[in-house]
Amino acid sequence: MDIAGVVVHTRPADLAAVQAQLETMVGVEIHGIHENGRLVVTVEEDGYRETSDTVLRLHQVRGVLNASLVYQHSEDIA
Amino acid sequence: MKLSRRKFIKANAIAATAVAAGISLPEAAALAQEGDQNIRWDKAPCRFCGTGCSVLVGTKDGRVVATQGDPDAPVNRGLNCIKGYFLSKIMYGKDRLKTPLLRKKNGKYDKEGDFTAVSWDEALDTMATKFKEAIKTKGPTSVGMFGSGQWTVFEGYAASKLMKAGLRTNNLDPNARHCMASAVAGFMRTFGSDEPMGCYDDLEHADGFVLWGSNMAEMHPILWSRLTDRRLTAPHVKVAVLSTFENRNFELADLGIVFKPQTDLVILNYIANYIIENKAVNTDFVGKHVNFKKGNTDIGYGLRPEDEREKNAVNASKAGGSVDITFDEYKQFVAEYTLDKTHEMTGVPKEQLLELAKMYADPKRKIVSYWTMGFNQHTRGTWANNLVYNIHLLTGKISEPGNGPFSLTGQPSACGTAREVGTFAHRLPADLVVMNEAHRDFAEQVWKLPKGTIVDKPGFHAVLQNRMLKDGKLNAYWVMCNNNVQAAANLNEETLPGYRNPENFIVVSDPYPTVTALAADLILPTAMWTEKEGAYGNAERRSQFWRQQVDAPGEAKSDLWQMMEFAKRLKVEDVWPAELIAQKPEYRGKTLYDILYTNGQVNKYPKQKIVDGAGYEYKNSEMEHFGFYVHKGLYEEYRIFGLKGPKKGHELGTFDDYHRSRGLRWPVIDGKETLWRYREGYDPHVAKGSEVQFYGNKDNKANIFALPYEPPAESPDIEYNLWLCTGRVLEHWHSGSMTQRVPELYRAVPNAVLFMHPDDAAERGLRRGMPVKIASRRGEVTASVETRGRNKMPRGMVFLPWFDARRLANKLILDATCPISKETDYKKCAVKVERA
Repeated sequence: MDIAGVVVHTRPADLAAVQAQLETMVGVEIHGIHENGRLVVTVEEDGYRETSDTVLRLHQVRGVLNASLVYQHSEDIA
Repeated sequence: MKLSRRKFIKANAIAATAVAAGISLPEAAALAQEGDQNIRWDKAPCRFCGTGCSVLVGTKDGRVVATQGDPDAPVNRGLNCIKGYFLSKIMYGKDRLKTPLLRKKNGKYDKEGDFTAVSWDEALDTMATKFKEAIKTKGPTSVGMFGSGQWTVFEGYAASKLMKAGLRTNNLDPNARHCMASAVAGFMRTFGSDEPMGCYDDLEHADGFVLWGSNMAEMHPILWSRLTDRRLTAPHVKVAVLSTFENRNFELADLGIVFKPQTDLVILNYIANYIIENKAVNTDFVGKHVNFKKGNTDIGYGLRPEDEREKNAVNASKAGGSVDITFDEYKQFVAEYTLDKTHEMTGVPKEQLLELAKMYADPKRKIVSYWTMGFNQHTRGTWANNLVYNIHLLTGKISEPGNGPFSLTGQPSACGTAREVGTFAHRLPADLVVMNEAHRDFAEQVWKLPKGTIVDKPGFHAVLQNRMLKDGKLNAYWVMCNNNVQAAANLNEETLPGYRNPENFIVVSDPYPTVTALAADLILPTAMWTEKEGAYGNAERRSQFWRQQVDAPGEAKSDLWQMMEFAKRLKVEDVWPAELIAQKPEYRGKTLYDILYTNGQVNKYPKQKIVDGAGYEYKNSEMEHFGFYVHKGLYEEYRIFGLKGPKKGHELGTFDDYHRSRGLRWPVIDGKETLWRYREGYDPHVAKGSEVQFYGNKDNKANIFALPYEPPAESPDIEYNLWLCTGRVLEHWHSGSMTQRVPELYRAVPNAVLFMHPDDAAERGLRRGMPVKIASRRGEVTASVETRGRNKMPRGMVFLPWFDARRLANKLILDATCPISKETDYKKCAVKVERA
């Protein structure tokens, strides 16, 4: 199990578009949105590999100015 | 059970992220209340760039298992960049070096032999023999060390003592020469004191930001996120980005400017001219706090003296010289940099130039200028630094919240270790220099050395070290905590011939078998980051300490341990002349270890338990081995330079203060840090009623320099018809020796690709993804072409990242430097590109 918390920055005008793109990504969930252009996002996968790939892909989403990691946890749950 | 555990961890992630984003999500916060009992968390600054983010390091069963942004850190406020996310993995690469390796043939050291595992005793004894031999035959200028802005403060200080006091050679230079030397030279020339006056708090106070040759979005992502936040929450804020190609910063920029290489010098002078012509000079500020000088011109390119470009340069030997001038003379000097001329030389549209000049000229707009390698790695790097200071000084926009020029650093302790400790070939701690007798005297007193121990001539700087290795004048050489075979310019013609010169013995200390380590004769396995106690100093003058969290693997030892053990193997009679020892007869028969590290100061603090606020106990491998608290002793001795030295304004807090805090910004006076230097009310050194004092200079004034545009050392021609710029990418840090070993980062960006304009590619019959040969006059590499992606190149310019050890960008680069700072220009040389 692997979980990361990420703050995503976007221009306020792009918020809706970025939100829509993030919602199509597997393992990505949005928990909060600030009108100034900040989103609280978690990335959650079963393997460490996929999580980090997804986190790296957040940077490539159109309209994303910045994606900063806040929290990361990985452990094996039997 | 399974579900609740997952839920709990997820709640933690959401709660922490919401706090960092400034969004209230009370439900998640409540769920996350209970902590994970099995992990010990402790703070440490990140191992990578100069931002100096603090991370919480989670350790379980002697292994670092997790990291998270430190919510209590004023720098990053709980955020982490993608490299910081993977910090816990940099120590666990599969090919960590665990034992010393010496090139041997038939059981004996042989430069042409194969790497063979040896004991530490054999390694250090062999090394000591080689260093002693060199000193005996050719004197102390034949030995040297190449250090690092990634060394801890303690290590840099120990190295400075070992080389400058112990071995009596100033041939000590850090890799920071390749990244910060122009910033240092610029600060010293303008302000007489190194490092920025402002701090990161400016990010929340400024009304405008100008990035000059700094890809902050990829190289300093956390500062970029603070800047982004400011831009998005205060609509009047404007962001200007200047670069020789379009990078990721342009996505946020209100004003994105692409200029022709080297013409930043023209734009800087144009802005000064605009400010003067439009009566935007802060005449009161300039009258009280500024002098005017005209710098020497035609200063060459720091190439070998036999190069035609050096022979033809009138002032190559007096590059730093200047004469006093008046404001009117300065005004006349910049008058030629008109809008028309600037547009013509730079290729920048006039309306963009005007908009930029107006940002600086508007007295109501507070402005911060940021720069990194675009300015510093420049054959006129010192000038570029001086010229941006001119603009801030003319307008008085300096040394106050939201106003100021700010040089960003690329390494975690370029400031704390390379600069403050004085590991440059001409420097001593706290801004002192070896050329100044009073400075040498002071250092010798603190270090309890006889007068004349420290040599009065600067040693070989980074680029010169490689030339001297090749020429056989530098023969015993120790490279620590850097990867210079991948970093230094002109690999084939200058670096490799020196490393493999049969006259030389090369030692490389590293955690991993880098290309530098593989070019050495002896490799020493090194403890890294939280495998030792440490301290780093970031770009805003903040010193941050950490405790040792885990053990180093195998027999790996810290750089500090290595230097101190090496010092035990050198008798003072081996390295000092008899006359010098005669001044201190009590030193007879002693080792350098005795003289430098058990002098009553460094060994003042006995072995002790290291415990944090929560009661967790920490190991300290060096304390265990040497029998005293080495780090504390070194630090408290070093601190004397700031407290009692001849240059004021370098006071540091106590060792224990730093372990308790999230860092403090110097000068630290009565336990209080300083946010803005030189300004009354913020900096206690500034006299009441004087408003501003640039006290690094004797008359308390800063210098505005008249400096022109001069062309680069090499420009594209008919054969080599493209500009090459090198640099970094978000996912990798510097030469990639750490980040390339993190599987996720490696997979994300495994290879360096050549960014190119689609028309330039089409013209050469190339398509995206095709392998190409990139050649300069000095060498060639292959890479595949990228015509899309994060960097959009203008016609005539290509970009190649340097992290990839399989395609060494430094083969292509000319070893031309700023003649004042001796820093290499990695941003401009001429290449051709064809199908591989």
